Amino acid sequence: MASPRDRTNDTPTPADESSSKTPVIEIEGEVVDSLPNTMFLVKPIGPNGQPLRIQTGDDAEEEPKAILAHLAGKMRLRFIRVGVGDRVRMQLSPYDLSRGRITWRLRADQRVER
Amino acid sequence: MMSGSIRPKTAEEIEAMGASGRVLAGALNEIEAAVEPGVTTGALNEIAETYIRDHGGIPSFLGVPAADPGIEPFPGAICASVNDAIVHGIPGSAVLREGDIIGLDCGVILDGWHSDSARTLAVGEISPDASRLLDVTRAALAEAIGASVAGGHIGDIGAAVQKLVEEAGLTIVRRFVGHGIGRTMHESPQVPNFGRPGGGPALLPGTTLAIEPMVNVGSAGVVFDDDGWTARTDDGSLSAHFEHTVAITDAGPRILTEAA
Repeated sequence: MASPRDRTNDTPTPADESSSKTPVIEIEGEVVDSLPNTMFLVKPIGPNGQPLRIQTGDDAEEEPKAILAHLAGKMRLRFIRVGVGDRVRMQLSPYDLSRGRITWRLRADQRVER
Repeated sequence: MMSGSIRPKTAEEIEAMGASGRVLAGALNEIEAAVEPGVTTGALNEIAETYIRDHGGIPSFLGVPAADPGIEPFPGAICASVNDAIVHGIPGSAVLREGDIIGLDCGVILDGWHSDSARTLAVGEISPDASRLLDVTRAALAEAIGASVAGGHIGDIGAAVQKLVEEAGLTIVRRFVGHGIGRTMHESPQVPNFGRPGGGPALLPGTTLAIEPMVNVGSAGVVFDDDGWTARTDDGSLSAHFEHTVAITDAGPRILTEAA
């Protein structure tokens, strides 16, 4: 049985490298609310679509809070429309995990792959 | 998600995988003999499942979870992918007709060891184009296996497939890849059917791979049926798929999914 291609371990392309000058954490999420000024509340989700769990202690886990995220500039320039329910890819700064930058809207056929 | 490091197998483990592969090859031979116009893909599925269980194995495809939420686990022992279906066709009431091509993909677990193999067959007389597609894809698998030598790289396998297929004017499906295999069906590394010689992880003796070129006549694009599994070419062109589980040994590549 063929495996869906998983690109998370692919060699970074030049475009990826430019954004890795400053460290970023890239995660996927589902838009739960659309706010003014192209800001969105995004709930992080794991690679298989299950809710992401954050380990907060030895045994304690909690579901992460929704992250306030803005649309990356290039997405605004290209008028990429993002709405509630869309899957998006976003970048977080390791210094402030409560805010994100939406860099990609996943099309319906771009499933999150195993 | 396929992740983690590549774990080479010992000689004994490779033997155990070969035993699993022999059951699988036997099952594929049984269903190959049953392929003819008028047969349903569901009937082929039953033949495969019965054969595997009679030989002490477990059909590994049954119950494979979908990559996406909301899609049922895979319901069959085989994937039956007819004509423009690339892979992961669900066996059922579909009836084979003269001139169809059918991709039959199956997996076995025997004593905890997985094997995975596929072949695409002609139903009766097929068109010259379809016949050529099967020949090229079968040859691409042979080239890929030939490139699976210790000291080489994963990229050598993909490059071998890509060269042969593209020179023949056909296209490679990039959306799906081959994979490492062993205690689970999908292990590291991924084995794309395209690549650069010398690229990707090194091939160490003991590495076991499911190598599976998927080749289309037309577009390389993929669309999914509403069942969430069946992957088709987005232009309706024919697609073929051949696969073997292969062990990389010091003595060269060894096909594990062949009948005794």
